Amino acid sequence: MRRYIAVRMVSLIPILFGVSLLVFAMQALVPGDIVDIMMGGDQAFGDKNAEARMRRQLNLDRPVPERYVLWLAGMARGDLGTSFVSGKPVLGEILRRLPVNLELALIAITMALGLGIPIGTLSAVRRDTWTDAGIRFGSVLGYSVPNFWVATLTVLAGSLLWPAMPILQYVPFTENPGRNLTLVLIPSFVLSLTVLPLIVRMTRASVLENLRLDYVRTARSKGLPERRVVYRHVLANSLIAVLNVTGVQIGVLIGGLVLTEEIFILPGIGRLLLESIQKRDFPVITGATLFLATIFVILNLAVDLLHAVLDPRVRR
Amino acid sequence: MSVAEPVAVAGVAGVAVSAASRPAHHLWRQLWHRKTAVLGLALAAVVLLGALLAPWLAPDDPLAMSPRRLGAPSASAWLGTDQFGRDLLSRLLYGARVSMAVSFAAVGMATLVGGAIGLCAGFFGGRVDLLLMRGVDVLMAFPTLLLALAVVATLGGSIRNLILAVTLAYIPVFSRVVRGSALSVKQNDFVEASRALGARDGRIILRAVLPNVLAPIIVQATFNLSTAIMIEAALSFLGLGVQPPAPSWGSMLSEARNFMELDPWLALAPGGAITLAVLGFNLFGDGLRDILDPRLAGEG
Repeated sequence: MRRYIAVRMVSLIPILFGVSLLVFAMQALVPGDIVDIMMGGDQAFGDKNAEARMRRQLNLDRPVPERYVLWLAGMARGDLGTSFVSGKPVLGEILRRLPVNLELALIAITMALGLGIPIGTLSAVRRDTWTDAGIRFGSVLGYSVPNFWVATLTVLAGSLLWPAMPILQYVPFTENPGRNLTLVLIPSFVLSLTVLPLIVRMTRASVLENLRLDYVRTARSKGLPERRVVYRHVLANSLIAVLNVTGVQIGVLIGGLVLTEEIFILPGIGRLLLESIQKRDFPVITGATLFLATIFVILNLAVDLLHAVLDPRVRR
Repeated sequence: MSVAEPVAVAGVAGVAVSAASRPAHHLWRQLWHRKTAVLGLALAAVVLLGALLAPWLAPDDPLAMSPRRLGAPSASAWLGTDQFGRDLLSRLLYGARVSMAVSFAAVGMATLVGGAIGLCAGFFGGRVDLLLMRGVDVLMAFPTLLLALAVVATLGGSIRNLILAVTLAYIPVFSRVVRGSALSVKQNDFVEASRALGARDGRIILRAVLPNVLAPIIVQATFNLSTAIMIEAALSFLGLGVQPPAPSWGSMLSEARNFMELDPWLALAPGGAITLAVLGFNLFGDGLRDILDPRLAGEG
């Protein structure tokens, strides 16, 4: 097991290296000159000295490979650069907004699992009944509906039907925990709908597959009540597959966060990324992209490792 | 499970061969028996026809403004008009063009590039496989929407860049699917037989391996068409896709946010169009998968 963990951790290194190379290449590929774009709206535009200073600051006077090495060395020290717009360190800006993302994502995942596992199990146990058909159709419809549409309609419903709906504001948890939780509840629920349908589908498929296996026949034939067979044995074994699909869905959730934050006006990393794209604040764009990709890779690894802990067959 | 395994694998290889060489009318008949697949095909066909025939079907110029702002649905404008008095139905039809153009072009390119990577990696194995798949792993390290977002953020929003962004985001899926299938097809005797008959690598790949990995490619492509529609809409919604005044479902929904209290149709119509299009390709994909790739049929 320890060896498996070590191998998997080491395999992260080339991936993260490749990620950094790709993100840097995007920055280097920006059409036009970054300094021109940046100074376009600036009073110092045309001031050759200011331009030269900026170029030096960004290491733009050095060859591309050297720039990459300098940039990577900064990353390794936790220095993601400085925002063109606010003049603050990028990492600080990201970390300041991280709690918003963590809170939304955690509540959304909890809701999706809390609803999805029972619904999926119900669908499997009532296989080929109207309940099953309804749940199956609901889940296909569920992942065909764009989440940003649901979010937009939620905002619309709020303003037309329930003006006091607790959305479109944000209060930090440290300031007022109760108010904070009330305000993120509805956005988190909407976000949970991005992953709910697949969790339902996976739970159903996995429970059905387990119900066919020999150990279920054994459990039944030794006289266990069906309820106990399903909840104690089948569900426990099905959860591994559900864990896996949840891991895959982390990426969907990160993408969904960007849209959720934009629509519900929540100050998370997604909004930071969108704002920096509008302002062409490249250090923040690359910093936030790199940060989110790194988190995604690490969470995927964590899910894989958890899977290996729960299911010895995985650790070859 | 372990006892059933070899039988199942042999069955899959057999089915894959027959699926690819099966006459088309047989496939249609099987599809016809699945009501949801037919519904999916119908929805997809409506959207595709709407996109193709937009210039003839649209009652109005999608960019022509009129004094009838935020007009309710009426006989002259079936879905009403937007904040500039533009005909909503015409904009939806032209929006379908953007949606279909981006998804079909991106999925097509990702299938070609990703498929080629997967075929080479799976067929040659060894160092080629390692190198190609490491590259694919790097692309997989980005959440799909984030990668597409980063590409259009860097290059700017346009149809061409949207296609590029979605293509890049989808290359990993196709590489993986095709590599997996190629690996299992390679084990078959007919591959060994063509080698023994003196066929070169290129010929074996194209004539023996490729036809047998087509089924999973087609299934995957259908599903990716539906998610590509979603990504295009999301990027345009965020203002990073097609630029106004050109109509795109995503940007229409985004613009509607400022006026939807006055005219909810503005928000309902584009979102509904996205949902129906995505649902269509999803249902059709489910049906295709059940027929072409029965290994996964239970997952429905």
